Amino acid sequence: MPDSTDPAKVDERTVNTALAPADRPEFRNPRSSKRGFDTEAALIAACQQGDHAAMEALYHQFKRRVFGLVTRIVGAGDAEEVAQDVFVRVFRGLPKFRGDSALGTWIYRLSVNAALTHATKRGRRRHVGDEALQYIPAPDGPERDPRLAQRLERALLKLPAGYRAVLVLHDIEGLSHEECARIMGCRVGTSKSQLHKARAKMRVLLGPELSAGRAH
Amino acid sequence: MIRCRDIDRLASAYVDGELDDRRAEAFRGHMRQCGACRQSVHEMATMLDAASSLSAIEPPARLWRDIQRGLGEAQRTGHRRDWLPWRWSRQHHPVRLFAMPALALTLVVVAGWWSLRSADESPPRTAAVQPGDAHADKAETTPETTSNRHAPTHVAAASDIDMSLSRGQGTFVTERNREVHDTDRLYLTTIGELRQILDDDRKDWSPDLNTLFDQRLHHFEKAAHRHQQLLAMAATTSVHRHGPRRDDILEPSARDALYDVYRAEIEFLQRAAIDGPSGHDPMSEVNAGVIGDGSQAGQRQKGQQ
Repeated sequence: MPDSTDPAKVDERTVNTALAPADRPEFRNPRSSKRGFDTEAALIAACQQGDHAAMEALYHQFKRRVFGLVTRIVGAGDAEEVAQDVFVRVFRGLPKFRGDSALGTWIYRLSVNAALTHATKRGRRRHVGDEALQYIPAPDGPERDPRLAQRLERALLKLPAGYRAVLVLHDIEGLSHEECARIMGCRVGTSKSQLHKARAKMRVLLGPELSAGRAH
Repeated sequence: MIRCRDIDRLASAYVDGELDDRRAEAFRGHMRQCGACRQSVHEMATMLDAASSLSAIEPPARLWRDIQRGLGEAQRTGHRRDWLPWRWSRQHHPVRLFAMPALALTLVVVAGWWSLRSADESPPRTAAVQPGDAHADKAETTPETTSNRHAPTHVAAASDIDMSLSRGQGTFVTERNREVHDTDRLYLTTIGELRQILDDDRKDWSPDLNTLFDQRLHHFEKAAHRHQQLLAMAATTSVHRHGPRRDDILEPSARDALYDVYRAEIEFLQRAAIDGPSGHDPMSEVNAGVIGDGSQAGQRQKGQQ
């Protein structure tokens, strides 16, 4: 937790030394290595040829990212349906995937589009009940306030869908502004602006919890 | 010199490490002096720390099975549960996908129908001896062979082909029209839903902003109506020329233009829903010439400003 007494330490996010997305464990999928899909290109090629093992390896490689992203945008109630739709689109679209972007970026883009469209069609969530926390596990690390994490998840679902998407991509998934912009289909400046507004709204929603969190 | 009003604007960039050294030092300098700003930035850092610590969410085990089932269904029925590709490449545009093969098939069918019609109207080969016909002696006619009841095999076969082509053409046209109608309805439904979502937000907007927004929406409606009229005229002209069986609601270029308007409006409404009123200028698309009906109206608007 940042030291509140020293402004110099309330700093560039030294607290966030999370691994870059490419280094996260779910990227190093032992299943894909065992079947000879050591590179992304090999995995894609195998999937494009209809290799079922490759498709399953790809699913396991991206399932948490896709599911986490859609859950935090559309809520737990609809997450399975949207995630299923995303992966169907992934596998049906792979034959046409040209590699203009990284596979992960492409899948994220599909996920965000699917989730935002679903959220828009279902209308704004006016009420977020406990079902929103159905899939959300307890946060790691005893030194962090678990209640804050749960309230953060709840507050996230109160944001407009677009704000939710950019905040999840950047602050939770750890993507760069450039990656977020590519995924959202906007300029980097727009992505940063959206993120700033999203954070401001979250602070308003979480205000009392953030102040209380200072004591931890 | 950084002031309190700058802190909110720069806080995101600061915690992301995006300020240059000079501005970052000025930022820290202000926080040393201002407890409120220090508190504010600390709250943001706390929030981001919590966000970055959120665990990955494990999907249920049944998801892979559901995906496989979904793939199977999609292969069987075609993946029609598609929402509109608002931000995607237009290569998936359903009308463009159908337009060229539909046009080619229509031309083939019409040419085939025309030639068969000509063959149908001409006397059967057995009723006339063609010069150089190797089978002329066999083709010697009797009155009975000229009747339809005893039409030669190739004419009967041509009639069968004509019938099956007509059936195929009718089925294709029906399918194509249904696709186009479904696409129209999907666009309009999506626009309606987005407008409904924004109606709530707009209660908090200023009157000026609402007026500008309404002007923009009216512009989209006018553009769409114009293209709809063009399509209606094309269909009427087609009926006059080719009879009531020819339903020309496809008209690729006119329909593409109409769908361009719908897509532009959807993108506009979506941005308004995401950005909200602050910092969103509904006239920016007009000024930038991003108008679904083409650039003419945009140029006019630019000229007016």
